[in-house]
Amino acid sequence: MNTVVVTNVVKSYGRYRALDGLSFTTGPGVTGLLGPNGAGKTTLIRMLATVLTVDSGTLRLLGRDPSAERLPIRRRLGYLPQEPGFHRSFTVFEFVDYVAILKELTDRRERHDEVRRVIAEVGLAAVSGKRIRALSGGMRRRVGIAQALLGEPELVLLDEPTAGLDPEQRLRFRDLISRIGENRTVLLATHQTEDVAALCGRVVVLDQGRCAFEGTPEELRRVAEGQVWLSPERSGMLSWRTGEGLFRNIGGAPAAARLVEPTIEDGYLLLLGDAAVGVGS
Amino acid sequence: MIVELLESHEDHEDLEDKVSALPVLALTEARRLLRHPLTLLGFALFALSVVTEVGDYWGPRPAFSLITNGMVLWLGVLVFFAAELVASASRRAGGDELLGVLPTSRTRRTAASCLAALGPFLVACLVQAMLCAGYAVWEVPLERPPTIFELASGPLCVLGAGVLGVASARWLPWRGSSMLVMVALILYNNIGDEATGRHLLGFYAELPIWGQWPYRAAKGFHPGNTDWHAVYLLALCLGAGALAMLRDSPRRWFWLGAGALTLVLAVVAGWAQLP
Repeated sequence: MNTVVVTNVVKSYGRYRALDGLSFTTGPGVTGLLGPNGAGKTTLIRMLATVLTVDSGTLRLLGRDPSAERLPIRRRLGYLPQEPGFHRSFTVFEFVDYVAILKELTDRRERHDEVRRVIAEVGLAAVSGKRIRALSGGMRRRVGIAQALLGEPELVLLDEPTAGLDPEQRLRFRDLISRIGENRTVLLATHQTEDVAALCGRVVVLDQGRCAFEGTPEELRRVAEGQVWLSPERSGMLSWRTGEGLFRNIGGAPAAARLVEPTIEDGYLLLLGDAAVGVGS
Repeated sequence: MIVELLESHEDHEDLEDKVSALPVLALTEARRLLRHPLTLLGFALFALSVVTEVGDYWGPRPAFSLITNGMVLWLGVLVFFAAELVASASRRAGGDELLGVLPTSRTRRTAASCLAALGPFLVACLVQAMLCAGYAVWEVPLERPPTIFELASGPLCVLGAGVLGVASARWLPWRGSSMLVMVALILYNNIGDEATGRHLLGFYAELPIWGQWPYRAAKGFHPGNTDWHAVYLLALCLGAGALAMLRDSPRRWFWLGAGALTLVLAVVAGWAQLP
């Protein structure tokens, strides 16, 4: 079953069209939303989180229409915004407990069990009594994920969850998200193609409010097949100097080009061209 | 911007959210308010003023004032700021987007914050009762025996301060706005003086000069009615609650009506209390 069905969705802020006839569908598993800054990722995530409404087009979340049945959707939703805005004087436990109350977990014992469960799941059990202001950026991010997991939501929306995480934290985060995605729908808005490659079963690439690509990460990688090569000089549509002193080029490869295996990032860059290089990368 | 968008989406569907979450949330908010450093400071300052008064004993009139309106000054002002800070914490932290998509609506959160003001009120009632018992045990001479309504004035002002703090947080979401509200309250408090008798319209009213044996009666002063003063304060508390709820609730007309009723009650009681 498709948990999220987006059909011809338009959203404007004044004259600026953040989403311009966007359509895609997704179901259980981890789906990555890739795109440069201003592509519409955050607007889309906010719509899916029922923060924003669509100007036109239709949206179905968990089989329901968010414009008419917002509350039942919210009861089955976990959301981590780009800037969660924690109450910094709360301890980790107090904050997650507070969110649990707002998620209508009213029985004290059950709620505390659930709070302890999600805190343990994100690996913060040892610091659950610590104030949020004393935590590192990565730990705060995990607090955000913990609150999103309360009540076993069927749809989890994470906006730039790896922003500011160091490589070790990112690794832990990937492990966590892939476990979460085993039995529910997780949508992950990100800049990071590595996260998509490591985590996602599906990927949607947004460009200027439209869907530029929808498929698996492998299919995105294959977009650049035969179009990535190394050369001593800059020669492709997009190119950059590697550590070995050669240029990695993407675009229409010349006949004698030394082709190399493309990555998801190559596919993404090829799809978006200058938009990805100039703004997103 | 997101807050405005979330607010603009408040609709009647929110009336369906679970009412059962409200008492739990109100208790949590009450704990937050009671544990706020400003509230604790307010109680500490009041306790200090009691110790000082009992220790030095300045006379029957200050002792009467302390038990009837001491809380307004020491506790009420600080509870107002504490309630405003607690109610605006998520906005100031930038957490409105996260909390706004949770099943418990902003309306319920505002209601819970208003109910949470009962926390300091109940503690103030307890403190008031303990102080009365202390006065009785130590046989502290008073201007005259206070009435139950006069004793209620202090805790009622604490309740009003808490609810008004929530209303201020909801209606005036700008830095420093609570300070402006406090200045307005102080100006309103000084609207009248003892000579005109409008002094009771304020919150920090010198109640010893009213009542059965007013020391000013010999000078031709006609006391007002402090029983009505308590009703007046209660009406203002309810009005502040209606004002806070009006900001977020989809039932605008209901809260407008409730606000109008409390306004009528405040005007009637405010008039009835005057000499």
